[in-house]
Amino acid sequence: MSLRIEGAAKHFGGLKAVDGINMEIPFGQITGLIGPNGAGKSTVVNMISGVYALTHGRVTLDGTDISHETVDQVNRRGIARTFQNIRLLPEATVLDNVMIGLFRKDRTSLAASLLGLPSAMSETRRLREEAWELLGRFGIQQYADLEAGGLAYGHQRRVEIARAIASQPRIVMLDEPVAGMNEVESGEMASIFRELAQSGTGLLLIEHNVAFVAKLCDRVYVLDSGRLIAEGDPETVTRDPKVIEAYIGGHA
Amino acid sequence: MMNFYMAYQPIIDFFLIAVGLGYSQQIALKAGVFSIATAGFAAIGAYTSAILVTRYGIHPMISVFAAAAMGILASWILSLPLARLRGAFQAIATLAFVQVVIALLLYFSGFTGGALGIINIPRVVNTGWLLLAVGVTMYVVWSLNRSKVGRVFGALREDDSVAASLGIPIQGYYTLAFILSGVIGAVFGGMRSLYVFNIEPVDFGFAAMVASLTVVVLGGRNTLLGPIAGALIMAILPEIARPLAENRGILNGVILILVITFLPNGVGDELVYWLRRRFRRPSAATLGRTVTKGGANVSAH
Repeated sequence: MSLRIEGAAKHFGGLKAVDGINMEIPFGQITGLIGPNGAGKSTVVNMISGVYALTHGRVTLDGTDISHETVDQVNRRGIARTFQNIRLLPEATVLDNVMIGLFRKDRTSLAASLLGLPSAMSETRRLREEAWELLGRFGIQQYADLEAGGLAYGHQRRVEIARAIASQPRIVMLDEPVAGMNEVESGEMASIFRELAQSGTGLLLIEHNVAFVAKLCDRVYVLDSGRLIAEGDPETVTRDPKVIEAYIGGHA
Repeated sequence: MMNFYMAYQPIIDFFLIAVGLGYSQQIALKAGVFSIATAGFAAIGAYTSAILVTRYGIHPMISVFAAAAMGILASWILSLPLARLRGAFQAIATLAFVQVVIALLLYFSGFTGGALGIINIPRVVNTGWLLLAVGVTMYVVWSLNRSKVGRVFGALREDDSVAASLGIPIQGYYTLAFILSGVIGAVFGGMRSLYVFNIEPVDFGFAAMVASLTVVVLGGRNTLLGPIAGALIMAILPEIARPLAENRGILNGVILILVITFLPNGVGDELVYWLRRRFRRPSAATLGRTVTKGGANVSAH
């Protein structure tokens, strides 16, 4: 019961951005992926979500090969993501941004939508209601009617995470979800992430903040120059000399 | 009122046709599809109706439905290569489509009447029918604005790769935008041919394309009021500018530049946005809820 990456590689011409890695992201757990800038962390997310075609290897969800699926197909399998450089619909309101995240739960038929049948309108109300509840969970209800693009950075992150988890995916990949947040805010996010994991969702947490990862993750992978240099429980990994060298630099 | 209608009836009718073609143009832009193929769809609809009625004696009403079917077919075929393009590339490719339609109309002169077009089309469309068609179109646009298709179109327009990452099959919805634009364009093209007695290829050329684009640029690309406001300006302007005689085009150009500069969302959209800001009902009130923040209940406004 997990998302697996087997021997996955992504080469851009001569540049081996990710060079043959094996990872497992189990449901109901938080898996960390850390590494210095340019290690290839975001490339891994783009490989799983179908943005990049794999040069070698494969990605499987519950044993089904999903390596060749398109971005929207991968999402409909129940694999959601956020972006490192937040990507909201800037002119849409905060509520509308979360509502579009509910697309997979939207049961409106094409005919109902074009003919304005009551079922389409009641579905709109139901989704608005659900999006509103979700905003409450993230503490951003008071911004519901504002344009998402005008929000403070930390709040934009929350909107994006709310949008990603709106359709109750089985796997969520969070690309630096607490960047730009203070201790209190990142603490609030941490408790939301724990709740998600307890409800059976598998989380892949990509972070620079090693302390945050160590506190939250069940298992951590460390990526450097496209290769995994360590994996295991957070305590062991953060004490690993290779990891310390990769982060601090130079030769120990 | 009746006197006003009698005096301005042709202007009102052409205004309604311009509104319809405006919606065809607007619905493509609403989904982020930079298609300017509306004139081409209108040509296909107009020739379908005209040929069926004049040559095969088909009932005009049925000919408009046939025009709609041809519009769907043509826009679906067009979407196969073009739904993959973006932005300026899409605009240029649809511009080429309009030119191809006109070239074909000229080439198959035995069937289409060539440069002379088709004459003696019965005038069966009147203000009432045009109002009905505009009404139905507005209802469909209104419905989709408030439901799933509108939400998806909005997401496509703002960032289609984000839309894909949320599970939206983006090619399918781009195709839908093409088809909606095509069917609306073809219906109003067909009705136009059943109103103007005769049609020729030049009616659907570059000028027609610019005209329906102008309606949306002047009026607005998002709201239901947009094409109405745009078409209204386009209908009234020539009357106001009558003293300028052959220099009327100058006024058109000046107005367009002023609107783009000072009301970039278009006159209709700006008006609707202003009204919304004025009379906005917050979501909390719409949902009958109170805003919760950090466990404490704060009432919404």
